[in-house]
Amino acid sequence: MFDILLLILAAASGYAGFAVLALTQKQHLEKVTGVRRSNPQTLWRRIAGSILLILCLVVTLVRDGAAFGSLLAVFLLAATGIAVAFTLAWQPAALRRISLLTATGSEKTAKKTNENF
Amino acid sequence: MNLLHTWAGVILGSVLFAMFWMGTLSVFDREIDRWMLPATRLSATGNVSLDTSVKPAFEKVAPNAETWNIVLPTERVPAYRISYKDPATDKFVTRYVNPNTGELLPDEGSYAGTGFIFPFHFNLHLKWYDIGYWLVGLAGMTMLVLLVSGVIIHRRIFVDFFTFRPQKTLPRSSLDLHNITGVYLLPFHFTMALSGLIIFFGIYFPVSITAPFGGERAAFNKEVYGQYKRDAANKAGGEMVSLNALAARAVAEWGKGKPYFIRVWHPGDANAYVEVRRSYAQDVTMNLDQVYFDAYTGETLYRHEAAPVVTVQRFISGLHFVQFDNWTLRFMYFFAGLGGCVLIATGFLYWLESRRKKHIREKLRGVRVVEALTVGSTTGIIIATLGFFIANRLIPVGIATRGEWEMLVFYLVWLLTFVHAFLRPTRQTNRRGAFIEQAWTIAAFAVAAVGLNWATTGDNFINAVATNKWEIYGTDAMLLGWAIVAAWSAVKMQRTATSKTAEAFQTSVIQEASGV
Repeated sequence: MFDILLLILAAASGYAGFAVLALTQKQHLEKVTGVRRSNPQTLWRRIAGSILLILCLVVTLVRDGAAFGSLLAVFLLAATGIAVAFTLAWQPAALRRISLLTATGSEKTAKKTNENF
Repeated sequence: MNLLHTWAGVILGSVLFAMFWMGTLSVFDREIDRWMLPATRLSATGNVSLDTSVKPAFEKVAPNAETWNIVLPTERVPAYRISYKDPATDKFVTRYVNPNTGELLPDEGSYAGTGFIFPFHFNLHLKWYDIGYWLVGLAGMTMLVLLVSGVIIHRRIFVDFFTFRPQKTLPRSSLDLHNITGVYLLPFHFTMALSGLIIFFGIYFPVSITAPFGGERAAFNKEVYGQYKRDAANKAGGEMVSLNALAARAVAEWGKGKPYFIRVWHPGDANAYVEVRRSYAQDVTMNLDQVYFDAYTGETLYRHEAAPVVTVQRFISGLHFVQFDNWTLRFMYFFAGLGGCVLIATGFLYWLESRRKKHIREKLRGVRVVEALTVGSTTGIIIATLGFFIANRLIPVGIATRGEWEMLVFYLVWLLTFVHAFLRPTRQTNRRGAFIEQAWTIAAFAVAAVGLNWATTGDNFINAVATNKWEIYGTDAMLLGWAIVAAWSAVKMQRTATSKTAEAFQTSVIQEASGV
């Protein structure tokens, strides 16, 4: 059971990591937020995304050890990266919460202003 | 680089797809074996002694064989797998022994997953002058070239890292999917292609044997793989030491792990000896730990552990063979393998769709030929595989050369799919007709295979869970999954074709009305 929880945690952090990194690209951020000329806050999101991807690796290493864990990380990162690309293609709004969570004050204000209009 | 990537892909894409498809299925070859060899669908792994079950079985079917090979039961293969070279026919025979009762299971004659699907992905069953190995080696090398050239020509690799546009035109969306599967699965594809070449280094780089060992294969095998040899004395021996006791002795010598393979050399002869190999189910590296015992005194004759360089080779081999007990990784390998199939198929699709109009306009045959090759080598091999499954359920057990008949069905069906793809008329407005029809055939064949399994064995998708036959549930689920994906693709392609036809009809009506 604990193994399954760790697998879910690793997959979730891989997915969230790639989603945050995708939001550093204007075309994806605009698709997700629906706001034109959004500020992708590249540096902050790149740091957050990278930390989440590293977390994915750490969790797989804890779960399966060095040999199996690193292999699992490679597969999970590939699977979650593809999943983010598919989400952006078919359900970009599903990433809105991640965009809000990683948004700084200015982007949140811009979002609210956009909604008010 | 663009030219190299395009033409290397078009020329060897068919072989690569066959390798990837069969390699992907090989990840679950033991489970496919259970599906195709119903007698081995056993529910528990018992503890019947080797001396009272396997040894008598060998004495009954192969008393004069040069070796008795025994693979011990595991979670994936819940039976003793015994094999020997029949001195009468000079062919290897594989049988199974029930580990709960010690009874020799009936010979079902099928090559199934481990005998047909697995070897197909590395030698295509073309044994003449090892041509299959060389063709696969060339394709593996080409895969490496394709991956490197693909990264170089993909100039927007970071910009398009998350880009997939299914709503755009077919060439655009297929290129996006080609890029996504290529980029994200690059480490997997690179590792598979490279490790495949490294596994067969003895064939592709024979200098590794000829240079340091002067071409002496036996010296090479002893130094690298620890193969110990002792000639037969050609006189009868006494009573053999217990095989179970020797297996336990080997574990004590290693101080860890458990045996997975036991081989009796020259059984019955005064110089008989027993080889015991350690399991690699708990590690990526396929260790070469083995101990050789005298069959009558139990004295340790030779013990081997791989040297560091060989251990690296065995680690790389382990990455490719997926022999470890890790179900999460096993499924990951399977889906990554399917990703490889998508990569190759979308590469073909992009080539076709970006050239179709030009080739039709200029009356060139390129698209026509490549389309037929693409259809035959993608959907065609899937249909042939399903034909192989269906033949297994329809050809009665007991027919001599049953396995060969199943293989013949595979090749005949595959040939027919190429013929169909070549003969199917392609019109600009009703393109992908062959794809659509073969996708529907996949759906029908997959459902038929599941139904035939139910009809002939009584095991179905639902009761397999209740009886703990997860391998049957898994194989049936996989087949039904193919059926769903194939039917969905067929409907989707049909709709596109219909809308294109309607569009073309509307355009012609407008042109006629306006007198153009």
